[in-house]
Amino acid sequence: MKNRFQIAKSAFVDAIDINEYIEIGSSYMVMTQLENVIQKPFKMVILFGRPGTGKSILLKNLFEQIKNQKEMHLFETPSSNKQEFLRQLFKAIKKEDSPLDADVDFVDLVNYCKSIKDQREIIFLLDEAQMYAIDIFEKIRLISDTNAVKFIISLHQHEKEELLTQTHFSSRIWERIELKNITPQEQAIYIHKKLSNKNLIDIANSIKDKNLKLIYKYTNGNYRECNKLMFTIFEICEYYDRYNPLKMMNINSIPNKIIEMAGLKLGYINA
Amino acid sequence: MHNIELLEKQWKRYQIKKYFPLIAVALFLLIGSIVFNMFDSKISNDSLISKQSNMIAAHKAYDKENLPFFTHGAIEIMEPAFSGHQALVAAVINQESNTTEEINDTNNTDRPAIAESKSNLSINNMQTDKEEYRKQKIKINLEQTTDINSITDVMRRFYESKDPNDSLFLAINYYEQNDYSKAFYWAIETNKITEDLEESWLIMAKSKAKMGDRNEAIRILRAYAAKTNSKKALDLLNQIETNQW
Repeated sequence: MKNRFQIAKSAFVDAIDINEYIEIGSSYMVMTQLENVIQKPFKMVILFGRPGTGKSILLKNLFEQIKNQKEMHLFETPSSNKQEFLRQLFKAIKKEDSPLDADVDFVDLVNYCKSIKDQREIIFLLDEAQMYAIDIFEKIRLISDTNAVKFIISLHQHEKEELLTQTHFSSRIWERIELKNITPQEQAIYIHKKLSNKNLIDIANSIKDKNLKLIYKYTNGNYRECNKLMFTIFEICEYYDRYNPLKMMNINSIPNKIIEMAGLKLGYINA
Repeated sequence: MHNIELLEKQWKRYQIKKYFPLIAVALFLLIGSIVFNMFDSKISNDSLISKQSNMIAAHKAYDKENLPFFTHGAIEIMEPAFSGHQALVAAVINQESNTTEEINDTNNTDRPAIAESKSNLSINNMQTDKEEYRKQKIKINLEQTTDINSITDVMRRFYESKDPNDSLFLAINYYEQNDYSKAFYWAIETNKITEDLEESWLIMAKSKAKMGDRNEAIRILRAYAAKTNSKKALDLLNQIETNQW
């Protein structure tokens, strides 16, 4: 039987699992913004933010929400080269595999996209787009000009900035949406909801304001950092619960000592 | 699973590191306040001594400039440091007196060592003066007492308030104790503040007379009588001149 802290730490495994998605104020706003944008005649939308601000899970959530309403494709992992990317596009647009023994004819693909204009509207969600090469971005730009294919591009802040600020590119960007770190209140809701979803109300209630302040101090409202820290905290709790149960028995609040130990372990603080 | 024991050790080190600045600041403030208090009390003592030294210097200057009839008899008086042992040292060196000797009061370590001039002057009118003083309405609220603590209290109050009634009280008190050098000193202190207290002049003259400096006593009384035409001063002057006092 699983120890309750084992279950608690499993809530904070850093994975893009839509079932674990917690919608809080700021992510709800961005989601609404994206839902509105895709109803418009856009070519490209840039979703940017620091690592760990929830871009990937937001794209996945959008995909899950809209995939039945619009023709939508999510590329979670960037293609390693231009040809592979074009093959993925080809397959998604033409709904057939490209010939394995020959390269995708980009001009032919563009012409095909033009031919389906006003008949189909295909939206590509590109996660981790900062990993795409510049020439792939150029292809994306040209395909988006057909108005049949649209792109929502998620990338890290400040990466590919030079390219995106160039006039020929920036003029095609309908909207730039920035994802920021969450506020302390949002982080408290996030942690509470994560635990509540696992029916760990007692543990959720044992995390007091002083704990939340310290957690926010270390993680600065970053989802990924928060997940890492919470995972480590519950890992330490699990250890005490197993080897020194008296320490964790009838505990009304998580001692800050455990949070600080987790902080030391993860390098937020130094001894 | 992490090595929890190692983490706990790291956490202890972190706690020390975390609170070290606070502990250091607290210790610094504690030591600082102790040093400051020590220094401050030393400064207070020094400033009081310095204040007293200044008064003595001022006194000397006053003697030379305002009381020319004292110039043939120099006076040196050292007042006590009140914060420590209440040592009062007064030395009167009279050029005309060859009978100066030092008297150390061994009964009480708090009491001063006194260099006092002995005189063979008579004390015939002493009782009369006492009675006159008691009749006079002087604003002295303290009980007259020979208790050294009370005297030093009055001295302390005088240094704070510069009330001539306090210094006159001391002058009378010392005179009654036959401590004429100190009586003379406090009468002068009174006169520095105000020259309108007749009793102060009389104590000054009588103290001089008691210390054997009859001429000086006569000069003081003449100076005061010329200024105020005081009957008491003239009577006392007459008595001293005719050796009836």
